Amino acid sequence: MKAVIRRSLGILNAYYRPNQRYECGRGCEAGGACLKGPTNSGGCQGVRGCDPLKVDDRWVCQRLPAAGGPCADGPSPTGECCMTHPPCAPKPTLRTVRGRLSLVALLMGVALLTVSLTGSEDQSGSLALDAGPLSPSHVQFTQEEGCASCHEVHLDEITQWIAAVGTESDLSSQCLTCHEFEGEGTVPHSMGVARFTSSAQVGAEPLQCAQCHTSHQGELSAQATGADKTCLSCHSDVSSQFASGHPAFSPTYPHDAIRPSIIFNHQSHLNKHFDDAEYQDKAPANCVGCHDTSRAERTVPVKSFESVCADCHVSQISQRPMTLFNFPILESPVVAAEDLEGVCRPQSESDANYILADAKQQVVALIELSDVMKSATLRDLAVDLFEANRVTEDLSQTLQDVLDETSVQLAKDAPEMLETLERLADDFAYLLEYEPVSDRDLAPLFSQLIAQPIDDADAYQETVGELLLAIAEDGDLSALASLVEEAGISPIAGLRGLSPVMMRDAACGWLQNQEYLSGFDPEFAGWSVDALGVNYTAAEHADPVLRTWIDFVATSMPSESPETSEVFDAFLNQDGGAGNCVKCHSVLAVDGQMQVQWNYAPTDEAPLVKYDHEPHLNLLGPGAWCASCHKEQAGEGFADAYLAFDPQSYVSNFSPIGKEQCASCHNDQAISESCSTCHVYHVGHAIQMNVFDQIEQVTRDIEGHQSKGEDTNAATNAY
Amino acid sequence: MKSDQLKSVGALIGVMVCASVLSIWLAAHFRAQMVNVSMWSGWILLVGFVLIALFNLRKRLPGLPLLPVRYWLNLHVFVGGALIGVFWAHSGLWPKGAYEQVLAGLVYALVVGGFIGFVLQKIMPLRLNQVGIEAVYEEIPARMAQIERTARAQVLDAVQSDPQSVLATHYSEVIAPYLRQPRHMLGHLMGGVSPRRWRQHQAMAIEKYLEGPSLDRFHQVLTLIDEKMQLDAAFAYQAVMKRWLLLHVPLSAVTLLLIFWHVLIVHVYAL
Repeated sequence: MKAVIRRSLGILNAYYRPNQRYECGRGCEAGGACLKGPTNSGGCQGVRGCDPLKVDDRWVCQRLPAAGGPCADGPSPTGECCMTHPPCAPKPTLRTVRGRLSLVALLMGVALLTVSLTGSEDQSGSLALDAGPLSPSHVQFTQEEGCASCHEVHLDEITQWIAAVGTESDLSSQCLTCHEFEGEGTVPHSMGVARFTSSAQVGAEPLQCAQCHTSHQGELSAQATGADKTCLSCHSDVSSQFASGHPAFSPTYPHDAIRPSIIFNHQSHLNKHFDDAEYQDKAPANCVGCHDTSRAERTVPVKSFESVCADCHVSQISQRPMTLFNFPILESPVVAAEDLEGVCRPQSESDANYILADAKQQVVALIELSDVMKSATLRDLAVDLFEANRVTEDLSQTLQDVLDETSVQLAKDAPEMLETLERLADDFAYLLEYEPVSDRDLAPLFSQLIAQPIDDADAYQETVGELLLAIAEDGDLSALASLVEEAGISPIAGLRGLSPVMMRDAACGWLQNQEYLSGFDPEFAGWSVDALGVNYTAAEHADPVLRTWIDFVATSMPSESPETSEVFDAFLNQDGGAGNCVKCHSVLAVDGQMQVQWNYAPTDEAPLVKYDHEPHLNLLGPGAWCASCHKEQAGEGFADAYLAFDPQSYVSNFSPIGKEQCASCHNDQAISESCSTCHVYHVGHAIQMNVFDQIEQVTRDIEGHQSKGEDTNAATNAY
Repeated sequence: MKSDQLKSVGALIGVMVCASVLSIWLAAHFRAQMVNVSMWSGWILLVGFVLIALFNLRKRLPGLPLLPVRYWLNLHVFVGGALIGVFWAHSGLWPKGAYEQVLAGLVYALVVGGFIGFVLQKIMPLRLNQVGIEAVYEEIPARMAQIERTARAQVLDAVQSDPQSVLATHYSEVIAPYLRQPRHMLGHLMGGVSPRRWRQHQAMAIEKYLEGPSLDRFHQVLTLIDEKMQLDAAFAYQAVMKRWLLLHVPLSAVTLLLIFWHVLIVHVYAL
């Protein structure tokens, strides 16, 4: 009843006001809360029963009916309430408590951030900035600079830091300081534009690394989050169902674009050479006789030349020596004979020596004739002759003077002697008249080296002469080495094993217009000098000297119509090149330059495909092997295709492989057919070397600390 | 629980499940389209959290011609429930970074706490109806004090007529402490029988030692104990409805603070 009355008077809960800051402290007492309630600041207002009102000259009690109505005693004469009691202790309402707890929580949050940010000098490892653990490899390279390795703004001033809020962070460029690709890292598939074949790639928006890769995910960092749908977002013309949604393979797949680097005609070997009785015992039993299945990946590489080719082909290498230099036809002597005094010994077996020796004998005979001895000219001739070691113009003139002086007397006293002297004069004249000993042109390789035509003596004479004279004078190969180096070849690689003594002797002979008589058996491999040339014979596969010169020839040769060049025939002709190298190693024209394919390298055709032979070999079993998919194809043109230098010129010995062959296993019923089963995204991904340098530096420093017995943890922490 | 309340809780669970499925599916779909899902879901989360936090502000502005509070409450509850799905799309079930883990822990605590609070708001009014007494939460302590005073008067009367009665001792040692403040809150909340069993135990323990006027007075005290028991139940139900916010609101405050810091850091370092 009481509650009904209070409710009807509108004063029920008058000061049970939970939406105010404080509530009456007597709320728990039997009388309940007072009617005035506490002040907003928590002061008690309930110490009096009422605030008496002065009406005319009397104080009137104002106690409310809910509190019992006007009291019997009434206010004092001074207007004070007669019902006072001690003040209560107002209590905060639930709302106030909630507000205070919220404030405490906020302050704790602020404190957490503040303490976290001031915990370390560069805030690395700060809770407030901790976005998660990096991958182990990223941990390594960020040891030194911490967060700033990728986030440039990390150590900036606070103003720059705040400004960065509205500035777009270019994190991809930070990634690309270490990660490099064939093309731009932010273009689709990171491919060079030349590779773009799909309309989906052309004109595509630049991509950011973080669109597929997330960092700060521990071990999972940097793994792409891609799925088939990601591929299909651009490649809208296919579906994730391989059997039904993937386009058909090209009619020549997998022999589409780039031919193999090694010219190996499977058809002729399998059907002709291996059946030949001469080679049958050397022929492999099957494909794995040559292909190394233990290294099967994208391709199944062939075993080494020594293990599979050498039995039949190694002897062909030495059959075609390389000629570095020929002493060519010269219009005149390279050097005057007298200039060779003290440089080269006269050639002992030459006509000149024979004639000179004969002349000395004849002069001795003349001197024995007493009358003739009176001739001072003859005495001079005798002296000159015995001092000379070669026939010179002066000697010839002296002999002529003697003839003029003594011819009359000799004709009378010793006609045979006169005849002998006249013959000697003719011989001297013959020797002094120049007749080139060589009938060869300049070697094509040397012609390429000095960039002169092989048959223009006027053009090459000076260079050849200077070179031979330098070799003869210096007694070493420095002049030749300089010439080679100017052409861009390392002399150490190109002239390895060439004897300077042999070269000096040959140069002396050629400078004296004589053939060089070498005691070296040219059948041995290595450098040799024959009568008029310097040759090199490779004895084994992968000879570094021969390879150096062939590379030089290839790179210095024009890619337009190279067959017209003499040096092409000497080196890059499949049927006659030095060392027979290009019989198997194909030659390409790449970016306007010829290039010999030395290695059996997997082609980079279809770089987005990641087919792996290894699981397929195991799957098909040893009985099935390669022929399950690779079926021989009869046809001509394999060898001819390699005559062109276009890498796309290729006629395979095998039938193309169709999509159906793969789809027989890769379908929705059997093995995975998702895009990533057979495709990769990036092309040509690599890590820049400077990253490894940094890591090595860190490792070295730590090892240095270890060797000094210092605390390696301190060293590590220093980074 | 009545069907209306069941519907409400079911609707919230439905919204949470649907939002989670939809968010995760959309995230996977848009990630496949190379869309920066983390950024977009992050902005949705920020706007969502600010929006549901405005509910508290709305309650403080009753005079403004805004939508009725019940709409705001529904918005708060259902948008909050839906945000858990967006949160999973944003950072997965449990992020890797220490700071993000703190934030995720707070978000989970908020969502779980909010859900429990919502369920309590639906259950407790029904149970209040079953108490059989109407009591304003703030008045309950005073009413308990009044009951204790009445009971004490009864016991004093009994002692005057029978000075040897054990009722006085039993009252001062057992009954008075029970009457002075709310008791058996957990028992009432859990719907257990402990309060009633306590009452029966007290009755059986003393009744056999009383007779005459003391027994009559004791029966009147037992009636007051029954009334006190109803007040206990009413207090427990109302207290839990009011006091769960002591956890929810401070958590919301610190979560919002850490969210703003997270947004700031992400924009400085990554966007």
